[in-house]
Amino acid sequence: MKAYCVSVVVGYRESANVFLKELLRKKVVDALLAPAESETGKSVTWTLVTEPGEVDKLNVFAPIIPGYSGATLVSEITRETPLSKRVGVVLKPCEIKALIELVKFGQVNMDNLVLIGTDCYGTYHVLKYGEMVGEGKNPTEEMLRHYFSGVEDENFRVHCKLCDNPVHEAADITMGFIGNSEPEKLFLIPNTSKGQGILGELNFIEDNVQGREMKIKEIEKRRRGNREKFISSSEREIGDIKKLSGILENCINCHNCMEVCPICFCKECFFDSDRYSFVMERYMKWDADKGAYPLPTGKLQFHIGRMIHMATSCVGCGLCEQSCPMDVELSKILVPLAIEAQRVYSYKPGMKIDEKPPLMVIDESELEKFIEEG
Amino acid sequence: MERGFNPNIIGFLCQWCAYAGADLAGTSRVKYPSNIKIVRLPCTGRVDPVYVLRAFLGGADGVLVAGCHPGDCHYKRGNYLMSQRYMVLQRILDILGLGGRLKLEWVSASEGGKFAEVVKGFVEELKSLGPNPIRELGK
Amino acid sequence: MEGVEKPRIGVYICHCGTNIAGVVNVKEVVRFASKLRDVEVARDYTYMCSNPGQELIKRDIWELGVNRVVVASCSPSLHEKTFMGTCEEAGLNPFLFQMANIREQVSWVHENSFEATEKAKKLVEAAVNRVRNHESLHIKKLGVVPAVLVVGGGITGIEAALKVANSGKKVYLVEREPSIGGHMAQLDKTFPTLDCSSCILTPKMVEVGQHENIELLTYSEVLGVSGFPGNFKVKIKRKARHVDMDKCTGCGLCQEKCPTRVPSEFNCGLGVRKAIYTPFPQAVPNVPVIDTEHCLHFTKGVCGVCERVCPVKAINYEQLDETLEVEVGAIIIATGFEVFNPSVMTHFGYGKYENVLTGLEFERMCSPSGPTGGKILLRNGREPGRIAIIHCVGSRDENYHEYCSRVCCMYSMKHAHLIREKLPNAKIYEFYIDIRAFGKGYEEFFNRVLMEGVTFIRGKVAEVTDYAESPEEEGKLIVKFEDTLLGLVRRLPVDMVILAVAVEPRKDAEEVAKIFGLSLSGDGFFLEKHPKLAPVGTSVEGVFVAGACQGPKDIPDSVAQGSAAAAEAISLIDRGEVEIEPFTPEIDENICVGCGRCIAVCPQEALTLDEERKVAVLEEAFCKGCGMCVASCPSQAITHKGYTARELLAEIDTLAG
Repeated sequence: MKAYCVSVVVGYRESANVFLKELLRKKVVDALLAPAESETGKSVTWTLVTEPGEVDKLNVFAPIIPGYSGATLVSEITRETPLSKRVGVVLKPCEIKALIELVKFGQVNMDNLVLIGTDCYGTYHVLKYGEMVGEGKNPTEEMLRHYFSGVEDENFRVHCKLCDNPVHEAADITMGFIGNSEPEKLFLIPNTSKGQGILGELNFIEDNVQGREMKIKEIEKRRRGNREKFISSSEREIGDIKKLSGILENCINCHNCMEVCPICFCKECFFDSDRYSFVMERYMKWDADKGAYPLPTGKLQFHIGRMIHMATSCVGCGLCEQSCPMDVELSKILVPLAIEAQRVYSYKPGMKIDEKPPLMVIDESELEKFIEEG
Repeated sequence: MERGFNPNIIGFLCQWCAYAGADLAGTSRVKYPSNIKIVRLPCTGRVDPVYVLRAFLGGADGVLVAGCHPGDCHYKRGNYLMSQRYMVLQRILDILGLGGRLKLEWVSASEGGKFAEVVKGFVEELKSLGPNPIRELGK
Repeated sequence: MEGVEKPRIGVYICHCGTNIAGVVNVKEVVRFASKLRDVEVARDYTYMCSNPGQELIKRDIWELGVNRVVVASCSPSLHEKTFMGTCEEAGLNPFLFQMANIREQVSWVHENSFEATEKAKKLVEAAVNRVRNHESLHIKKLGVVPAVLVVGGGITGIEAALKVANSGKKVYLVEREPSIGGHMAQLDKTFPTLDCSSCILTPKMVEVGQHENIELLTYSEVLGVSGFPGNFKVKIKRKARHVDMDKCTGCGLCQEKCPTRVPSEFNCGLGVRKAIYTPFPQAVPNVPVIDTEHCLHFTKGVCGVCERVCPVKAINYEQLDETLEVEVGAIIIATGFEVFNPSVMTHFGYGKYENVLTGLEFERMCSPSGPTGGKILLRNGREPGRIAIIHCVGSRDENYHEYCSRVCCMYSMKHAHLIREKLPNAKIYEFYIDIRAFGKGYEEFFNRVLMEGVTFIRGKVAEVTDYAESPEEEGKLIVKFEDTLLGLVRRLPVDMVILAVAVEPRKDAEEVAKIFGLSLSGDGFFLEKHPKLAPVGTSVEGVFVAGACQGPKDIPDSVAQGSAAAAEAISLIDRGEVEIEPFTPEIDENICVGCGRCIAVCPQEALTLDEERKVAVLEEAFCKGCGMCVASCPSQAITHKGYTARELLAEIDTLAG
């Protein structure tokens, strides 16, 4: 497929907006759903833009996921009724992964949706982002600076440093900077025939996106290395219920982690249901056995139970940890657990829409193998 | 009688095969340790992983899930479904420090002897693992 | 459980003579149970299942207002129904009951009295905590459609259809071929009585064709089945015959004038038929079909002779396949078998030497309506002088079918007899492994054939060849074999070889099994519910199998199974209602998000997604209560009646702590 580019004169944000404006102007989409700078400039907010003149507010490369995933937002607006107008939604790779998982579970309707992906080299914790702005830094430029110098920003969120998807090729069109060795071009890469059709109608300069593949591979490799290191260090802190309880000890049962998790699409988390609470009688019984009984059981049940439910589909966005008011390091448990669960099923979530999650279809040949091998 | 650690095991048994197998052990007067207490379910496919977690959080030292041999499931694929869940559940339990405490076995309605052997073996394994660490929390 | 009266639990501990009380300290269990929360009364009795024992429970329900019952006794598989009945008789919903198994799973397996008593206490406590959460359930019943689908119009299907139709119920008999009759119509004589096969079959076929309760759907196939026991919906494809069934008088003029000759399937390819044909003269219905693969009108757009000669204008080239849907209460599968194709066993030379025949081909040759008019002839038109019959071709052979086909010994001996009748001077050799003559009159028939001068040679045939080693072998087929009684390897020159080929499952058995939800046994035939006690039942209630589709069978056994399946179907319909599984899931549509996990795992395809409302919907009648959906639902939007999370967690928590 032919790729295109917009040259970078001011910055990547501005070049992206040139393209996005064109989408509205040429009526390729009726609206854009993308992060725009907030009033204070210390965060971004999901914004629906219909006027080309309003596009300049958008800041799609802002290295931040504001509160919850764009995938959750898309699910909310398309789940009940499909979109009646064509909407271009601008998402980061981990948001696209979450979106794809949600499609598989019937929580997103893709009708009239144009998926526009952005490259992502890493994001900052929402609070860190605001802090940086307060210090007069431009987080977007900070992130890009680290990309161009080829090093990780220690300030990135843990999950971003472990993420091996700096790009996602399921978007109709990807807006990318990876491949540039200095801020030169914004790549416009079609990944689907829909994307190709759109770009073919617009008058951007063709480009052969040289060096991109190599750069992506390099980042992926580094991130996988980071991940292995992270998992092996986490393993020292898990595998022991006492240490595990230690990780969770400050949890205040607010369940924010579940609220923001794009994969936790249930209307009602069943661990919130009163069917799952332990009755006092039980606690008294345990207490009688030992003389003293701490009550972390519900907390463990919630976290581990939730992880049992979503681990195979966990896309590693890390929003659970970002939204924890008590800074519980959930990643230490969830990352190894999700990676392990996904390895067991040979499943990588969020990659292809038609790839079914484990046990979402009964594979008859697997079943036969099970029967034969006993 | 030895007064050491005596593991407490919860058994989730399918009513068609394993539960009937356990009954057969009784009818044939095959002896096995009393550590296991059985919950009768229609199928191992009914075993919600969360129930397994719950049994451990409640203090059980071991959980035995037993159902029909592959190909014999009354509902065609309940045991397959359970075996799929088991693969992941085991890893999760490892991470919780509960590795080796969950066992999945196929026991037919005619395998009373096998059921008794499975229980005996599991009790020994659990004795060497020691008590469920969750019970030690706060001690 | 809002609005429900406070639980008042009655606990009843059974001594079972000394079976329980000999190990478990029953009195102590009673003392323990009586102190548990909500326990109104705890009692023990020598035999709870006895009438006085049951009376104890009833009286407590009436007099003490017990509204939940726990019985600790034997395995629920023995007396759960008994005690549920007790509750019901006392006016208590039978599902407000729980059993603790303290015999099979306590007193009979644990010797130490202290340990056994402790475990019994725990099980009773768990049952008490569980029953507290029980809810009343009601068994629903549905009506049964008084009609039966019979699939397959061989002798088994014919028998089943007639039996059901004669009981006054509607039958849809679906047959893939243009006529009913099946393999039996191809046979000449039947062993051991030597009845003429068509003479005994044809009247039954005619009866089927004329029966007011039978709708005969020949040249038709079942496409799919939906619904549930008692209320199946069946989609049937009626292939275009291109002959109007209502107009055709069966005069046969079209077949006579049709210029296209095609090898006749009915005659195993030994004779020819026309492109418009009835497979055999006694066909029912006696209406031909046009074979569009060969008919010149369909292949080249020429000819049209049949249309011109038909005196009643019954030919309709434009006719299209039709699909119809029928509703039935029960289904009888009688799709029969295929015969083994021996060309894969190259050492027998089938397909290579023209005078090596299968048993079925020989059968057609013997038939007066067959390709040779009933004469036994070599391909060169001469009569054979020496004939070898080889048993167990494809049967009792691990490389092909491990099973015994059950009919080959007998039909081979019948063939020997037929040869003796038609060619009194022929030399006949039967090569066998063991003679299996197990039926009524079969051994007698074997003795008769022995007396008729047929040579039986016990041994496996290594090869059939035309390679002559001596002048007397020239131009003959030489059977090389090991005579295991003599311990010699020998050669025998013959003119004709008949292979007693195996009976095997139809090639599409797997597809058919899928359509009807059946399973196949290891040999590839349909699996019955129980080999001894439910030989025509299947794992799907209301679907029965009969005849050779379940395994090789002779005619008497097939007919018996046809009748048995008919009796099962009639019994189901006459019962008039089917009970629906009480332990079904219930979907809370306020919680369900329609993620589809439950739908993916349901083995009964009882769940579907309501696209509009984005919730899973259960067709309760399909459900068998396995609960796989419940365990797969991340939101726990599904409640499993009889196994609710509350009930199970109460039990688990008690046992774990």
